[in-house]
Amino acid sequence: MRQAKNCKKFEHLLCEVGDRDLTELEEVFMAEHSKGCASCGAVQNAQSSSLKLLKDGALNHEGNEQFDLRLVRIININRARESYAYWFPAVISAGIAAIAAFALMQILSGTYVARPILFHGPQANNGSQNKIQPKLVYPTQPKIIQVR
Amino acid sequence: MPFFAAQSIPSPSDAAVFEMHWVSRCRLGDQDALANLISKHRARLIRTASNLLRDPHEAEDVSQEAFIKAFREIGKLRDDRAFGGFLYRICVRLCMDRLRLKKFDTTELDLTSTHQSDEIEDRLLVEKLLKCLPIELRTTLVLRELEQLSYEEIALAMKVPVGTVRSRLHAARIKFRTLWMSEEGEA
Repeated sequence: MRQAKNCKKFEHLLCEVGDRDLTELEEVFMAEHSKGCASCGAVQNAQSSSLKLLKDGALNHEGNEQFDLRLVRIININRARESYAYWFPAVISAGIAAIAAFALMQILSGTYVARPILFHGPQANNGSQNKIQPKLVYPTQPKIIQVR
Repeated sequence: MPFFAAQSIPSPSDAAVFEMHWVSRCRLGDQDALANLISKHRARLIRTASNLLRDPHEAEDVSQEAFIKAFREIGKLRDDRAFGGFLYRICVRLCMDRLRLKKFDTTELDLTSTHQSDEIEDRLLVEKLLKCLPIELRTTLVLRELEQLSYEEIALAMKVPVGTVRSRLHAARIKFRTLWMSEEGEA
């Protein structure tokens, strides 16, 4: 019972070795317990070996100057995208496209009727010889009616 | 004369002042300040991401994402001296998100080939053992053992209480050791 309790305490201290300085009493306890308990001694060895393996297997990749340049370029592009100057031409183009689409829809739906342009004088038959021009002259002189 | 021209090796307090100055200039769109901040934090960020993800290329991607996010949200930063920690937190969380996504990736590592050097073999073994740990335990263990962060720094980066860091670290060490022992037993 006491042995099991000591083993648990040993394991707890084993995990704390890397994080804080053990007191003198704790160090003595660990040294004595690892001598007397073979399984705890093995666990202690395994603990240090596994953590050593973890440290030996660390990756030390730190990137290079190219990473910096690429990142600065990306951040600048993103900043430009968020600015007014970037979106202004797109907004104007979208407006023009919307007006054009609206006009096209009006024409296709038939709500818009193109009326002929009527001309007087020498322009009347210019370039439209075959078209029937509406008569713009009264067939008879208007009568003047005097109202008394 | 440039602001830092007369400085030699800066003390920690000077470094904090430099950082504050760069961050405030970066907020105004200064390109030099931006480049300085990137080159100052790049190595640590990529190294941490590499150890968490165990993939240098993915680590560069995540670090890049972290920088972009940090610079986009730089306006939210209340204390300019805290930029480093702010950036680091973003990076650790992005790494954890990636690990969650990769959780279902069941790529098996081939440790049987004999032509690999000991160093590469160690790295592959570490990668295999870390893959078996839950993400929270893995992150805590790497930040403590490889990045040498304090409990408080880990708690801040992972957004958990210090007590949780302590218990996770304890569990992570035991589990890592057990996995290593079983791996050694098989070998």
